[in-house]
Amino acid sequence: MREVRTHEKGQSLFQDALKRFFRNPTGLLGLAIISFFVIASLLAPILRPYDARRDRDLRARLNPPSAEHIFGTDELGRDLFVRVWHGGRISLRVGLTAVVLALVVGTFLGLVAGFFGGWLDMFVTWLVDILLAFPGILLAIAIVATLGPSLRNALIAISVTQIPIYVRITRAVTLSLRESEYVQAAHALGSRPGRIIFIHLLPNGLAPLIVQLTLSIGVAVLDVAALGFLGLGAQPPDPEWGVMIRDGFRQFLRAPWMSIFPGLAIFFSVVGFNLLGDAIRDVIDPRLKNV
Amino acid sequence: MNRFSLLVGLFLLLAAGAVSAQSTLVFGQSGLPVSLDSADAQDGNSLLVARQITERLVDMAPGSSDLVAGLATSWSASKDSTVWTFSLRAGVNFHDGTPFNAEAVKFNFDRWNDPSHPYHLREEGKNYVPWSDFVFGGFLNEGSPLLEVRVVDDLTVEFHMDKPLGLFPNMLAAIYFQIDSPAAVMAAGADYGTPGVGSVGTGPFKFVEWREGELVSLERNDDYWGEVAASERLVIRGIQDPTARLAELRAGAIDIAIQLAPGDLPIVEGDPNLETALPDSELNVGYLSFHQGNPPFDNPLVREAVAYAIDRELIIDAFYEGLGTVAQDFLPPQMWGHSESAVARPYNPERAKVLLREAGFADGFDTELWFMPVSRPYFPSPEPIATAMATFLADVGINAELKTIDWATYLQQYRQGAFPMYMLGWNADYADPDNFLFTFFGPSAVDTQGWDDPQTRELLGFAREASDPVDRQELYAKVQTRVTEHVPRVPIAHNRSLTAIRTNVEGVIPSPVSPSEIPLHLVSKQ
Repeated sequence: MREVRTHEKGQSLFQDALKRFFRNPTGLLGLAIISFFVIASLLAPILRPYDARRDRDLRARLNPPSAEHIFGTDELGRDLFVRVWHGGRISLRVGLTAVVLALVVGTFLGLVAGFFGGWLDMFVTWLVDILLAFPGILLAIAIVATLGPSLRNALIAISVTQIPIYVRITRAVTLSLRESEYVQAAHALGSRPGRIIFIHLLPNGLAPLIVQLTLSIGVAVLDVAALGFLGLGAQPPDPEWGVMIRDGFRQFLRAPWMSIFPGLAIFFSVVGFNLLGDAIRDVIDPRLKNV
Repeated sequence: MNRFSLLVGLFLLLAAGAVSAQSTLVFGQSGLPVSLDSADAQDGNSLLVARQITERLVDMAPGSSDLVAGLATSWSASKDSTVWTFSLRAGVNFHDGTPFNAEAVKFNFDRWNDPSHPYHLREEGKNYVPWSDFVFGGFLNEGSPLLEVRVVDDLTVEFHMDKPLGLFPNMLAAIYFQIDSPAAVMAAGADYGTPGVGSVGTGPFKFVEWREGELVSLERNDDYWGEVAASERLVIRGIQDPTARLAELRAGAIDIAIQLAPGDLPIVEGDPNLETALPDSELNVGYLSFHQGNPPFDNPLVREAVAYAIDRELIIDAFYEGLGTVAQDFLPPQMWGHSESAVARPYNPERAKVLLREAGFADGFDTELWFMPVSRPYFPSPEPIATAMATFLADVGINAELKTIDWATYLQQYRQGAFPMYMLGWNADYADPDNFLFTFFGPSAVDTQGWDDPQTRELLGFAREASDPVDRQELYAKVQTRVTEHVPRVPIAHNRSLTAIRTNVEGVIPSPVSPSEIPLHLVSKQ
């Protein structure tokens, strides 16, 4: 703060953040892309119901993009536009679920470890270090290989690989807030640990978690596709983007559109989440305020 | 003037290079051999190379599955077909100079059949799976029908069986049973057939060298008893990826490429330097199998409904690029042993729904459809084929989840009844209905399909022992009728594998039995 703004009306943190967000062009672009994907996914079953288990038109195989099929058709004559559209539902749903799951588990572990310290902290930190020792996608592959390939197991695997990030963030925040005066005061008033953790510590540590959540969804969307491409995630005939790229890979010389359109969908959704995440960080990180 | 002579010299050099290159034929397949000891090899890549060096007693005519004289000139059976007598070709020598005779034949068969033979070498790693598992059902005293090989005179051998075996010559025409030089086998022991040793036979080419991971090089046998090879040298290269194999063929680095992806047919046809070499048909079949230990497939009505539900014609149009045909039963169309009453069920989803209702599944049911993780000649692209089949099943209410697992595990688990419905197929070893029907519906059907049908097993046993072709035809027709009635499997397709050659190559005669059966000594390069 370079000046004391006594003449200004007070603003809540949220209003302040919102105002700055709307001044951030890349953030708005990210929001627009993500909104587009979310709205398209929500409308898909209403505007164009789709049953992958029955979809086939073997007489219209490998048709290039045209007015009838704007993304072309695949090996089974399925319309790629409809499949990419419905594929967004899978990617967003799995990405979001996996990340929220990791957020809940990771935050809880981080809070508990940071607040109580001692052997519990050592154990959790040790667990997290082990998980972090593996590159994320490798760990996910190992987990799916053990559980068996399916979309549900891919979700679990991606979620597990994301847990350490949240543990670390929450633990760091908790460690610094634990010694703050209002927490000390709560202690002195006889609050129980549960109350201190969830009423005092958690709300004050939310900002970095929200930033991480947005960035993580982009990573999770990419991981879902990667596992699908390797045959470890969604299984045919599900219109998952990674699975669709793999289908197209077999026919790449004859029908490149089979891989290109799902690839573009992955690209834009991941870029969208990253832009949005970056913007949110800029907006709510107090250290960058007014700089 | 100086420059002119230089040019002439260069031209001569180039011409000389071209001449020597032309007498070397380069063949591209999906891998190098595993072993050149044919009876110990199971894979086509090994057997193709071995086939150029060593030969069988009974051969198949080029481009056909008809039996012709190989190293044996004639054969006959005793009245009950328990003793088979083979007359051997006179004046044939192995590449190492030792004579081919009755003793050499006895040595080879004893080596394969008798676990106590000094050169059986099972402990040292030889296993002769084709002898015990694929064709004869066991070794001596462990299920093998062959009791003794008797040398009658220098050029006559007798094979004594414990039961009648009408198709013994057909079995000997399987690509595995090639005669190796006893002297060479004794000298190399367990190393016979490995890269450092190679193999020694009587064939049109002699082994020169095997550079691991790179190539196998053979040279012409000028003393060959048959038609001497057109090329002086034959180089076999292993190129795993079919697209890479096609790329090398287009670049002229190889002259013949086998087992290309069917989807590349338009590329081959569009290249002026290439042409296809397709057999009229090939002895294979791809099928959809049920395991009857998995309800509801224990109900024949449900299996029949599946057979009606799938439009196989549309699938073959879509995924076989014109190389495949719809399978009407479990034998390739050009083979005998069919039955007029045993014809595959046509596409009829309405009938399928009626059958499901009769079986008590009016609302359909959930199940699994397993597809192979690798491409095989009979299912060139298993995953999209499986996906298409599942959509047809969904149309009649059967919700089949698509599943797969690595190839080695797949081959183990289908026998254990782990898969309710699965795709698999078969490439012939020898051109006889026995090789298909006995393999599918003989004793192994209990494991592979949960189908325990003594009547079919009995018919197959009779057919194996009978020697009169008319009797055998009748027995196989009965088997086919029974199989069509009970639907333990649904036949899907027969396919031809895609071989492409450069246009300056002549004399490639693709075999209907297997792409490994191409007789390369008949191939010449202009």
